[in-house]
Parts: sequence; C-alpha cells; structure tokens
Amino acid sequence: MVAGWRLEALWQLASYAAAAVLAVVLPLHILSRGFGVGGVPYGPWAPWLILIAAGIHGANGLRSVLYDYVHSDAGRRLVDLAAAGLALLIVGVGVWGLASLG
Amino acid sequence: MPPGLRVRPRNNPERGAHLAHRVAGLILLAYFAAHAVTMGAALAGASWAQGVAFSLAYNPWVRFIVGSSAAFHGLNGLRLLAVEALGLGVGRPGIPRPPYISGSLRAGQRLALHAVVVASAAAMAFIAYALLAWG
Repeated sequence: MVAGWRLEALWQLASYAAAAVLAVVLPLHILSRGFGVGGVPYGPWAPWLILIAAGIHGANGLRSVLYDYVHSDAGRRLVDLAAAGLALLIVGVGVWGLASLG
Repeated sequence: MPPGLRVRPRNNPERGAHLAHRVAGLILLAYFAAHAVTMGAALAGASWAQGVAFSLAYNPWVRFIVGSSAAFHGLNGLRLLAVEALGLGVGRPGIPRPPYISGSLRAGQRLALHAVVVASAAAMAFIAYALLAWG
C-alpha cells in the first residue's frame, strides 16, 4: 500500500459495493439470458450496470494480484495508476451506455 | 510465484482457497471481457463476432467452467467479506504456545471455508445437471 490508507479503503469499499451489485444483477442477467426469457424480466440497463460493477471489482482484483509481484513503491504506484485508469475507462463506458438509454 | 505461496505450511487450506479464489476470478474476468466484447460487437451487427459470441454464451463446457467459477468465487467472497471486512470468525488473540497454531486457523472461518467447499461442489453438481437436463 503506497497510496495511503484512505485511498486503499476507498478501493476496497468500492470493490465490495461492486461485488454486491454483481451478486444481485448478474443472476438476473443470466436467468433472463440477456433477453428476458423464461419469465425473468430484462432491463437494458443490466449489462451496463454489470460492466460498471465488473470494471471496478475486476480492476481491484487485478491490482491485488499484481501487488503480489510488484514490491517497490514506484512499481506499486504504477499498478495503482493503471488500475485506476482501467476502472475509470470501463466506468466511463458504462455510464455512457446508461446515459444513452435515455 | 508470489511470496505467500513459496511457504508451504501444514494445516492451511486458506492458502488453497486464496489461490482458487484468484484463479476463479481471473477466469470470470477473461470470460466477462470476451463476452462483453463479442456480444457487444454481434449486437452492433459485426458478422465476425456472431459465431464467437454464440459459442461463448451457449457452449456447455464454457458455461460449466464459468458457472462453477462464479459459484466458488461468490461463496468464498462472502466468507472473505465476513472475515476481512467484518472481522467475524477469526477468533480471539492469545499468547502463542506450542504447537503455535494461530487461533484464527481454528476459529469459525475454518468451518465457513469447509461450508464454502461443500456448497460450491453442490452448485457445480447442480450446474452440470441443469446443463444436461435443460441444455
């Protein structure tokens, strides 16, 4: 941890919140097979919400994996920066998708 | 190999769960990326993506592997949430005495880990049955 405990706590809290969203929306998406079959309703917002949540949770997961291999402060700053960039990019695409639904 | 995996302590299935959680997470991440890209491209009308997207979404082997990974990753994630975020099931700190077995390795989280393994195996069996019965 090189970014300070507040930023680390923010990563972990955001990751837990994203996991909670995935735990609710992902089964809905899978049961509807993406297109609302079998009586399970399908919301076009679901894939975009999954994209946002998976982006945050996945970026934090990759960051955690890389922390096992990168031990220098400079290296971990780079890992933090790359993970934050990836998460922001995916969240940006997801928010754009949600906004485009109108 | 990560430093934490170079040490090989006895009586430490938590280490195996840590590795399995990461492998399952990477499988889910790879599937999610491939599924999102190919399905997005297919829905946008790209002909190259339609076959790949269909295979990824409906191949029974892929579905079994992804479903099993999701079951273990999700159930073990609940255990990690309880242990790491809420501090549940880790026991009380005590003075180290021979044979120096950490109290947390005998606490409730160990039982939770066994429950996760059993529930994941049951989920895998159900997924296999569902794929065979309903396709």
